[in-house]
Amino acid sequence: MTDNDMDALSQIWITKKNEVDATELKTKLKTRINRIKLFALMERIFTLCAVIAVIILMANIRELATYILGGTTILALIGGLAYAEKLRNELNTVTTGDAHKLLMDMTNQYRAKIKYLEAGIYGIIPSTILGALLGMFIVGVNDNQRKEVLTNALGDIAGLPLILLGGVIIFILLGVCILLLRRTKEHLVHIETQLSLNTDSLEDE
Amino acid sequence: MNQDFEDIIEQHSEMVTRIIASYERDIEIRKDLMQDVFIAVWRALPSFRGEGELRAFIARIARNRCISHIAKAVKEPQKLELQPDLKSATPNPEQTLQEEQEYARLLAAVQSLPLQIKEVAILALEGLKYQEIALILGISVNAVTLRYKRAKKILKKVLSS
Repeated sequence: MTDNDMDALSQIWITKKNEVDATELKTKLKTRINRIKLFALMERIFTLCAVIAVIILMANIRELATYILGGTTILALIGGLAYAEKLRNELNTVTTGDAHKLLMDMTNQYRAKIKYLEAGIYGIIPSTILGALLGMFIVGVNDNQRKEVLTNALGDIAGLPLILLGGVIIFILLGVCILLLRRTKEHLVHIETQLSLNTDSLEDE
Repeated sequence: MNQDFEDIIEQHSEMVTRIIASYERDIEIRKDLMQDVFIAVWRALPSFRGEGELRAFIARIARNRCISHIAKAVKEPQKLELQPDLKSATPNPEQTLQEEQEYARLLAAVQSLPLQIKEVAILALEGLKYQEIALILGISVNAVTLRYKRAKKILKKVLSS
């Protein structure tokens, strides 16, 4: 094959135009970019709060640090919960339609979204525990009472119910989030099964 | 999203479409990949120092995304595969049926190439120079020349059969 032949092939090659309308692509990208920016902003705020909390912990104002850490964690969880609920609602709306192509598109997108959300929620548990341990460690180093920190924290009668209540709220929210995710996943499997059945029946015909 | 990025989408979306089509047969997955590529471009743009052509920079990102996609797809369990949709989703009225058929034949031939040769063939068909292809793929110009020759040989064989 000569270079001229390749040039001819190149001409055929570039006849292929867009598969997606540029305006539609731009709109979708705009939504995704805005979401990325929002998440980046939330991440920064969360990090800033964590840094402030650690500084306050180092200054031995434990209660304030607990409120800040607890507050930001709960806010993050509520955000996750709201997003999971939004996904589930969107999915319900979609399944009432009958467009095969749209459904295939949506299931692929939702699988990716759920994966991110799951990673986020499951990531909160170890990071919260690690954060708490680190906080206690820092307080312990400053007070020279590393071994007694946990005992002191639990022995603080005024603080204990608050800690327990916070823990219960966090675990309830986490539980609901995970439950919603599981339900959404089951929904996806159901849709995929339906799609496979439809495709099979089309092939049979 | 600023105007510059919107212009980039306008100018390079066709090239990205063609690169993606060479790696993935499912049109719905291709649309998702298209978004992923442009998100990656948006993230990478601040690091673009203008040393080479922007087109080559975007082609490199598209190629890397497609390779990651293939690597992931190989790991995932095989799903029900729909018929490959080689026609354009938004048909251009000016595009004749013959052109579409020729393109579909060429695309099928390119898709059948071994990966290393395919990568060079796609970028060469896009009109990129040997040096640019070498830079995108991270190989020497000699290797590009060699793979390009092999690509031509295989394409000739496939297209004439």
